[in-house]
Amino acid sequence: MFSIRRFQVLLSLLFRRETVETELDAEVQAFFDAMVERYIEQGLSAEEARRFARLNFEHPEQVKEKVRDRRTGAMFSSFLRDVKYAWRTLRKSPAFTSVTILTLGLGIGATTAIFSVVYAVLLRPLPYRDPGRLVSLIPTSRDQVKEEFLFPDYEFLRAQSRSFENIAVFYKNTGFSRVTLTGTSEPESVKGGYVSANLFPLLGMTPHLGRPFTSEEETQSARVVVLSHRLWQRRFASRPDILGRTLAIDNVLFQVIGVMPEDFQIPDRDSQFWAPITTNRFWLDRPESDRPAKRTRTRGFYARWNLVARLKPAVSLEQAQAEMRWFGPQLQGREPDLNEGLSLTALPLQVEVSGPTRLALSVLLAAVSGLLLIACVNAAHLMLAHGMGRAHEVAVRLSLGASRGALVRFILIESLILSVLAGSFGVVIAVPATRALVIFGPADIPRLEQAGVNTEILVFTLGLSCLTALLCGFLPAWKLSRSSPHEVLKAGGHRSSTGAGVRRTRASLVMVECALTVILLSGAVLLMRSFIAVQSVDPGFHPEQVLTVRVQLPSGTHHDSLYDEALQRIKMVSGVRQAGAIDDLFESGTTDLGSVHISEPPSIVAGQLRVWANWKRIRGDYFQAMGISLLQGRYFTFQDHAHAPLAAIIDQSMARHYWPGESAIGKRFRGWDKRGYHDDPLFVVGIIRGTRSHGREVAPTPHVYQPADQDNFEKATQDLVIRTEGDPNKLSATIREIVRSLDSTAIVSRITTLEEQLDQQISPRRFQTWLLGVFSALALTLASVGLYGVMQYMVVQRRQEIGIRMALGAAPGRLLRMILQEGALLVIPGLIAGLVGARWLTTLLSGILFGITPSDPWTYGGVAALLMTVATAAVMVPAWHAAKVDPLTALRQD
Amino acid sequence: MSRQTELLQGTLDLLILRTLELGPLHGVGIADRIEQVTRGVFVVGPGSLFPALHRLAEKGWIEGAWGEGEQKRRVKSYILTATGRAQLAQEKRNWNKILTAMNRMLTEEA
Repeated sequence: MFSIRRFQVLLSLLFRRETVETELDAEVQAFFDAMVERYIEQGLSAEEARRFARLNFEHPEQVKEKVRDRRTGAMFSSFLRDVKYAWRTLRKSPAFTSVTILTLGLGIGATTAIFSVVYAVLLRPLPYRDPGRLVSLIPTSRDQVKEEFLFPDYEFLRAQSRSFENIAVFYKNTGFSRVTLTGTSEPESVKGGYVSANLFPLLGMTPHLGRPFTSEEETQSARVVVLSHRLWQRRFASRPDILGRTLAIDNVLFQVIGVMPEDFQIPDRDSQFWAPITTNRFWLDRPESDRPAKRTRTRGFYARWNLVARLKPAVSLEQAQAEMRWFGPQLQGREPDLNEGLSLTALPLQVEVSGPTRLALSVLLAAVSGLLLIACVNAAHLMLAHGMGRAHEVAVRLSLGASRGALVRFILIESLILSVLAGSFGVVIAVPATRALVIFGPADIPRLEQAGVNTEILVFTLGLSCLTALLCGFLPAWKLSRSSPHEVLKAGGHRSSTGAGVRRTRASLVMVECALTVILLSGAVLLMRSFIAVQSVDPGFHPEQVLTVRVQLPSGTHHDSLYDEALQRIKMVSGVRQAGAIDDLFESGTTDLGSVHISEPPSIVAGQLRVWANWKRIRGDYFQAMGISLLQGRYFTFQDHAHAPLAAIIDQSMARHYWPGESAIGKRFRGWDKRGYHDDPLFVVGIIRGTRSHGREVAPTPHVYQPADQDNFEKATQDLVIRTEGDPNKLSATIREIVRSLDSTAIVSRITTLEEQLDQQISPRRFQTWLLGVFSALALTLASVGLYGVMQYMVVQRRQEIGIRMALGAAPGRLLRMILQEGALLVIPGLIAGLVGARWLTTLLSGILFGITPSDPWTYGGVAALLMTVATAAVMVPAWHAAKVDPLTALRQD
Repeated sequence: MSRQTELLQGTLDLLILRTLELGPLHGVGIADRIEQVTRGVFVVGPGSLFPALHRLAEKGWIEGAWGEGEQKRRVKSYILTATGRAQLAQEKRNWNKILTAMNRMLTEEA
């Protein structure tokens, strides 16, 4: 019950504590003095009177203590007292305190750093209005390939579906656009988003400068654009008068009407401008009923649109998903050809955006938590040992009347102080660690750059520290609550450290550490082996000493002659061995999938008339430059010009699959052809080995190569491939010169080597593997230090026993074996438990493993061997000390 | 008065309040008065007295003040406050109720 009085008492406690205590002291003392005087008056001597008073009444200190206990805020002031006392005792054992803080701090810091990344990428809600109601609609084909929508399907869904307030549409894979700022002639290659006008209100984000475009502007294909914050800062120097200025996108003038805030990252992390979908060059290719001929082209050709929708307030995600399942067959019915085998799902936008990184980040978070647990176990052991050193003092206090509850509270407070200090140390490490993660993290993690130690993370760290305090302090506190002061005092200060209970506790602590270490090590080894497996995959070409350059010409110019001329000149540069070009080296979108109709022999492929293959157009000595070996037939030559029969080079898997047992050279098939009617046959002129054009980890898909002269697709952008003698980078300036001299407005970008590109493709995997490796190495170190500590302690405790044994004639060898056996008893149960746990948990890793299964026995064998080796070393040192104990000194020690 | 104190803590409050009703007193005086008036049935030691005094002061029923007592010594004397007086009246009524009920119970004819 709160009252003014109690508040006054609290205040006086805080600010006038000394006065309050002095007065209490005086009051109680006055009572005793009065009693003593009374006894003197009754005839006793002064001394007798005092003794009498002491016998009759409780001690003044106890009286004062009782008064204090009943006071308001008694709990709080005793808490403060405990804190001060705990602080003093911690300062008196600096070794214990600093080692514990360091160990725990390391664990907490690492966990905080990983958590800040996980938070920024996976947990923090997207910056849009009510982001939990946003879903991404995803079409998948029968073989689980993620597709994109046809535009009429979008219109159908928007009109018919009942789960969504609104659905917006955008292009995701429009590639890079040429953006030129008026007034300058320096173009640059920039990724942009072509979105429907209703995307901005749907997401609830508007430009911080200007306005978004409207649906009228969309219908009119108005040339208006909204810039990204970064683009505005970088190329326009954040000028406030940006609105109304123009820039040229792919040679068309657009007017700037707004600037979006920084965290607007749809459709892509790198989107730098947003324009209406109707202004994009692909807009004209959406299937319409008045263009029947073109409709037999491929789905990939038309299906480019991605959808994002907002759920109606009363509709749940499950209901929307059910509706999408119903719509799948509907869409199939509308376009049986293009939508064959299509099914739809709805995924929360947050999940879809972070999708591929989810598993890897969760694994990292789990691993670092394991590391923290090991650190806690070490700290708990340290606290146990520290506690045992105080057993005598505690026993005395208990027998003087201290309550067990108060002592348990004290231990927990000590643990809390240690953890809070460790937490602060952890934050100090976490800040640069998080920065390092952001800088060295792979580029495919969305929102990574927003990871940092901010308020939410600090709250997390605080909570984590308290949890750690509980974990570590639990054991010593529990032991205390069950200790018997009687026995401790009887033993005269000898701690009962070899008692059965203590042994069991230590054994279980070591077991937990070993088990966790084994689990972490297994995960790390599996990832490492996957990494090595990926690197040893043959990509199908020879990546050494090859330079690749992306060139973007303005549309409408003479591409063919320009690229041919460029390749000619490049070939003449000294140091260049071969040079060629292809329209997209490591493709990123599905728009290159085209159908292949095999026409001969018809009997074999009766059931497989349509096949999806990647169609590529090449020029020059592309295959030779890449180092792709020719297995049969020939490369393209100048005889495959525009009016010659259509030639194609296919890869081995396609040849074997569709023309098994015979040579595919000379066979015919149909697919895309220049006139668009698909009745001109293509002849196979050469067969090459398959290449992994999506990167080493992705299984190869069939490819069809055509000479660039024989088709009519736009070739404004090409990837040049140049094989050199010596270091390819030395020639990059020359290559750039050559291209620019032919067209000064050409954008020459991404000058890199094939090796670098392959390297970059595995950088996410490298990141995970490296981190997990670091964590398991740390875990192994901590666990072995813990094991060493335990064994050392045990040896020291049993010195007497060892001395007796030696005096009775035991050989040092036997003693060594005895200690080792003890150690083995500690480690082996942990090892077994760890192996079982690891086998079970690593199945969760299957998504990110490559070329190895979680049940690979060599991995576990290796991990077990590693642990046993390290454990043996950790046990050997104290065992060695034990064997060298001088029996006389040992016996003398009491 | 160890066992008895635990049983009759509420009673101790009543005893103190009543003692102070007749006039202000310091700690020793209160203990003496209670012992005398109850003819030694209730003997209050400092371990019970002072916690009770401070608790009652926190509740606002009594108020302590330092002053000069006999033999020019500094003593803390307590007086009954207005709220204390009201509380005392309440406690007296309660006590009478209990007393009457107990009496009836114990003297009832079988």
